[in-house]
Amino acid sequence: MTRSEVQVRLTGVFRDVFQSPELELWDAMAARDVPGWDSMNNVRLILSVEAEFACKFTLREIGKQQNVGELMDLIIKKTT
Amino acid sequence: MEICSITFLFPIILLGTLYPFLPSLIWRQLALGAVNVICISLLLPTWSSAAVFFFFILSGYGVGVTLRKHPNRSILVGYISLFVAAFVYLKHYSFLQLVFPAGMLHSSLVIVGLSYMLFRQIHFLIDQYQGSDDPLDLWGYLNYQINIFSLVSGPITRYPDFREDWDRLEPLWLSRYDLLMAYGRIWIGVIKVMVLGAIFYHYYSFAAPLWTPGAPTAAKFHAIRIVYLFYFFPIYIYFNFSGYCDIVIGCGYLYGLRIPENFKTPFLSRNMIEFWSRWHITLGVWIKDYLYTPMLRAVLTRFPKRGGNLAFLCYFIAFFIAGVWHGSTWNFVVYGLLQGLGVSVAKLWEMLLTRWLGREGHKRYLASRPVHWAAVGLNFHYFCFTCLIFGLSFSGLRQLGLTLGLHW
Repeated sequence: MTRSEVQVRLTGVFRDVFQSPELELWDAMAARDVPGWDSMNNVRLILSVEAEFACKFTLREIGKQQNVGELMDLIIKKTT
Repeated sequence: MEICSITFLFPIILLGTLYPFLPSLIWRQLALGAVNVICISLLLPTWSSAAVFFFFILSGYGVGVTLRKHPNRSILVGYISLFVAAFVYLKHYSFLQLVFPAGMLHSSLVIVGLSYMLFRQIHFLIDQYQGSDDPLDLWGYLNYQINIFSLVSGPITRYPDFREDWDRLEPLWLSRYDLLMAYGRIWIGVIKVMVLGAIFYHYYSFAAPLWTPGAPTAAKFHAIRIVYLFYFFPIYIYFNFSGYCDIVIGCGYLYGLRIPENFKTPFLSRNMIEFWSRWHITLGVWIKDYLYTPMLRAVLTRFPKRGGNLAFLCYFIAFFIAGVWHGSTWNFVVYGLLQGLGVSVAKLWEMLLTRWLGREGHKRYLASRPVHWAAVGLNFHYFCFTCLIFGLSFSGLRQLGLTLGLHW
């Protein structure tokens, strides 16, 4: 799966979880950039990403993610 | 052995400064290993304590190796349960007296750094179970667990971070400026512990005995003594603990170990959730990663519709456990309840505000400076209140209540 394909599908997941249809993703985007991206919604996001990309993250992987770019890299690593 | 003492700091700093001149990684690992072994031998009071200490470490290593080859949930849960049970027993938790006769609870074993070992061990084992590709060998693992710069009072280092440094062990200072910065960090830590912390503790200890069980009657009301009691104890803890962290971070820097930061102006937090991301940061992050996230994940998987409401419960349980971990008496159960309550209320308030004001209105609310400083003040006072529970016994609190005119 290419990075741009991951970004398109991940954008859909973000829009759904944060109920923000206009939301656009960029690599350095972090929790502070998205209203409502708190620790509770982060777990919701992770569950939705796991369902969308049919993969499972470890606790260490969840804790290490700092921004959207790192999450995309992890999805690519997990799905290839 | 005190971390602030000349007998500790002088040899540690001297060896740390000569460290880059050691010819190879093996020599640097041997030197740091020797420092760790010497320090741990000075900290373990008896042979039986040493035997139990190394039993915990070696059994954790053995289980970790097994889990890496054969990820088995029963082994993971079984070992962690036994470790937690042993921790509760060795720490003499008060609630055990309700269940077991006093004779069964007597133990003279003193295991240095057991509280922090518990966190390191649990995270290490869960990572092995979930699949870790970090290098693993007994010598490296042993040094991770007995690393003197995080053994006694944290910060809670993670195995992958330690391992990355351990396999390189190149001093992080490249110039004289870096070296001076490391010395400066250690020096700032010593000032915090020995001067600032000592001053605040002096005034706190001047007031606190008036509200301890030995005091003959409830002390008369003296505003200044109440100030010492209420404000100076948390400030003392801050200077003492953050100073200690400055010292070990600076020393670790000399040896090529990146000890994680543990404090970031915590008294400027606007609520208890933010507070726990700025006070004892490595504990707050550990709690989030290894307690809160898996708990909430399990809840949201089973109850996707009601997960939002149950998230408060997860917050509450996670920070209640964090509070109880701090000490073994009933005070710490109350302290834990107050920490759980603080983070849960902060979360609830945030959700209610978003519902009432909308996202844009909530943004404006957060940007308001008067609201910000009012929240910071309120949060600071809430934390000071929880520290009263931390510092005084129940009978001391009762006497304090009498002094303030509260009769119960």
